[in-house]
Amino acid sequence: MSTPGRPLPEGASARVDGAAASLDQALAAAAELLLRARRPLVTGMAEATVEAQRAAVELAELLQGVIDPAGSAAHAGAAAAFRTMGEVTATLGEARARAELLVYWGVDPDAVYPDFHAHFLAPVAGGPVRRTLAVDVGAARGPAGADQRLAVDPDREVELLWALRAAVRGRRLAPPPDALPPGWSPARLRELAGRLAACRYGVFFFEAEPPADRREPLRPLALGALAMDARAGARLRVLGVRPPGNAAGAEAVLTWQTGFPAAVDFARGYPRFAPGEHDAATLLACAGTDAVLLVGGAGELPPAARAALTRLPLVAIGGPAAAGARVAIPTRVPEQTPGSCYRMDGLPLRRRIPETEMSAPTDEDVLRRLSALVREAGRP
Amino acid sequence: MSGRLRIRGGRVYDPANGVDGEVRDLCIEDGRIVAALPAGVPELDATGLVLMAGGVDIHCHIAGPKVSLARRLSPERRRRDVVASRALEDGYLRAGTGGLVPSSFVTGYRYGGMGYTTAFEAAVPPLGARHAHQELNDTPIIDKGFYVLIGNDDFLFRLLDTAGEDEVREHVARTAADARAYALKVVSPGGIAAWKASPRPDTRLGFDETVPGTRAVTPRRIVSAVASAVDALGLPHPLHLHCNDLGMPGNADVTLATMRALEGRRAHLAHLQFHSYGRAPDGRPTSRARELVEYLNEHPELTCDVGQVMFGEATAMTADTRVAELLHRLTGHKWIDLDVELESGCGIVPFEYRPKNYMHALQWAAGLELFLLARDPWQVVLSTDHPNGGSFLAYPRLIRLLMDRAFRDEELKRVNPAALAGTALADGLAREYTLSEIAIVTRAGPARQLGLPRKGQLGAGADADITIYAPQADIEAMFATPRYLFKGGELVVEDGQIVREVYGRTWQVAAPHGREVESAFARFVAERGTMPADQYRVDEDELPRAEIVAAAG
Repeated sequence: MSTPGRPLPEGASARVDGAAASLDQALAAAAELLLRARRPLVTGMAEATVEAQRAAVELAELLQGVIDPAGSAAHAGAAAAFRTMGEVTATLGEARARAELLVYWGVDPDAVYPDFHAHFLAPVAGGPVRRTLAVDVGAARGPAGADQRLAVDPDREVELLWALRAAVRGRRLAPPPDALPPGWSPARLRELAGRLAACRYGVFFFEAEPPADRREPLRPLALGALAMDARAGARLRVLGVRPPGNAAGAEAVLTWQTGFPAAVDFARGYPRFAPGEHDAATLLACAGTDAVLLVGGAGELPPAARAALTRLPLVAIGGPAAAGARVAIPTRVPEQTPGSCYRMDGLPLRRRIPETEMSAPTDEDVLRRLSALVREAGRP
Repeated sequence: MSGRLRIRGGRVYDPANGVDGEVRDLCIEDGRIVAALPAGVPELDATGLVLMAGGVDIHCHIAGPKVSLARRLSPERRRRDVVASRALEDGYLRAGTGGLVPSSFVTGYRYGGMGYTTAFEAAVPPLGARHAHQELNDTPIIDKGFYVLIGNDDFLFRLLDTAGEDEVREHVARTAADARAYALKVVSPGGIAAWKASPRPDTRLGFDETVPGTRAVTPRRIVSAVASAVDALGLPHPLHLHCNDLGMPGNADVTLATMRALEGRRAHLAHLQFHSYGRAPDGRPTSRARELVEYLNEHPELTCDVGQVMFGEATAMTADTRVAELLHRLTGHKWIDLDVELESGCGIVPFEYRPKNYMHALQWAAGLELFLLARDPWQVVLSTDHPNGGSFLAYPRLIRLLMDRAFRDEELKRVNPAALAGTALADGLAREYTLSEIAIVTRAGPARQLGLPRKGQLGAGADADITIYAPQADIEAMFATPRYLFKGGELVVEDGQIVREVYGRTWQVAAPHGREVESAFARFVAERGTMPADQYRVDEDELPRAEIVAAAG
């Protein structure tokens, strides 16, 4: 923890209504703004540490507001599939050590997560011979160097996955001629289904937080169902590729503290779970909130929600200079903040950074001090 | 209340100190029990009330990656059980959700509300240690800790194939130390590894079969090597062992083989009920609980917790993923199947036990047989393997089943009679547990088996974790809502309601080991895994309220 009152780094002063302010002044203004709101929203948190995310949940609870990580709208398809059917999955090291088939379904992991292959999938001595298959879903392309490529019309993606599901279960498909996407013959479908159904260990990668133009809400569900249905004689796993940061940590913290991974509404004093309704993207786009606390950047929010941020009373903690924020409090950049982050496969990591003398407060420091001010004001 | 207090005139059940319902005063000073206090200190009148040490749960699943996966999997099961934040005189209680797998804060509040002050999470993979500690740090009221998984990890297999006892012992110590765990847990020795390595869901590993990819590693060797290492290290809790073939008809064979393979070494057999089945010639499962109890009766070095099935909702939650897949196939319910690199797995299925279902009724009966046939209650701990057999909140009902024969007989009428035939229950088991025996199976016994001398008892020097019950004809109601609970000398519960929030300690074991095993392990995970070895290590400052127990070895 940094000591309150320590000077901020040069050029990184807190600001209230555009004017430079001390940290104490900025915290007081932020607390006042949030306490005045009827329905404050706490969002962002994509790069915050677990420690800061814990503090953010407590603040949202004290404010009886809504808390939702900025990336939750993009992640909604994967989250809904998980709630509907569960998942068959693995940590990345299992893919590294065991996979004989890697299927990239409309994703090039190296484009989402720098050095993904070098970090997580370097071949293991004595490991199985590994084949790779890139499935290009329209413009969402798999990696360039894959052993094999297939293309799917994005408008027919789910139908193809459903047909594959039937085929891995050994159901005979007698489709009308246009039931399969262009370029897919029943023979080709059976060939791929046969490979999947006989795979000792195969891993599907898909993009877990795709931007709107690459989003097919049913894709995660259909991939998961395909992997489960091939289970009679195959071991297929499905792994969502997520960008660097700590979106998985935010889900973990929200889950253990409230029981729900996202879109948690404390308006009644207890957590309610309302994805697609009380989530950040919807509340911002539909005037469902009257003040926002943004932890870190807003880049993960959909464009309409980002635009709404400029029209609302905004407290911005850390992140790129929040130009329109009523209160902006700079904090240490994530890379210099010690603490925990969760990897895309759910494994926790610790960033160990020696404390330095001259340092801006961390997100956690600021959130804890805000909570203290909110409690002084009599909440709860 | 953190200073001095005399609790006057209660009936004390403290079997660890041979006190069986005597009317006594209990004196508290600075969080501990003391022999006496001078006149004039504050007093609490406990006349007519029953005093026991705070309850100790030796086997439950309350924190870590699998617990949170279960929470995420079934939000619909918790919508109707919500907890609002609440201001207290000093501080406030956090909001959360309950249900079978409560949020972390609510887990602590509900254990406390039920008179329990200590609970151990029973299965955390080394890669999930940091996550489990983060959740336990957010679990109020109770003292806690966890058992770290070993016995399906590739590094152990390599050592068993190429190295000796010393190296295995060093690896066991390093695994516990890195994770800041309290004990070692083996789940289905070798079985998870075999299952993960096979594309077939029905893959099973016999007790003397070789784990795929190894030269000569068998479940028998794993059990024997890890139990020896734990004994040699002198860890306070012996090997915590979940045998092979959980839930499978006929698994009593492998359970007995495992007990024999221990050859006099100490071990705690987890949720023994789930490992006590025979198979009739027609293939139907039967109960062989009686045989297992007879073995236990002759082997005081072994203890168990029962893992009682309670009818109603449950959640299968286990590193033994093969079982989860079986339940998923039986029920068609949604499920999670997660392979954890180089060490373990994780399976989760929402489930429900029904009294008319033959298998469920048999499981219920087998658990009661274990309780009622065991000669020495010090060897048997009350558990539901929460939330696998049911919620920990079912403990009061389970206590009533043990103490109240009339109630038990009524319950027997509800369950599938075919399942009862052939169990000892059908012979009209008359035994009723006494309050003293309940105190043994819910606090004194588990504390002793855990090697926690300050827990589970009320002698001078013990932690002042004290539960005070108001006697009632309805035993379930009596145990569900303690009149008072003291944790570390502070009054935290009155009439089942939390009145003060405290945070207990996280217990971990000091397991000294050399540098060589650290560098060998680091090389191994660099070659085969994706997580650098230093990420397996939980730092001292990640546990703000740690209590370290030294190994005796």
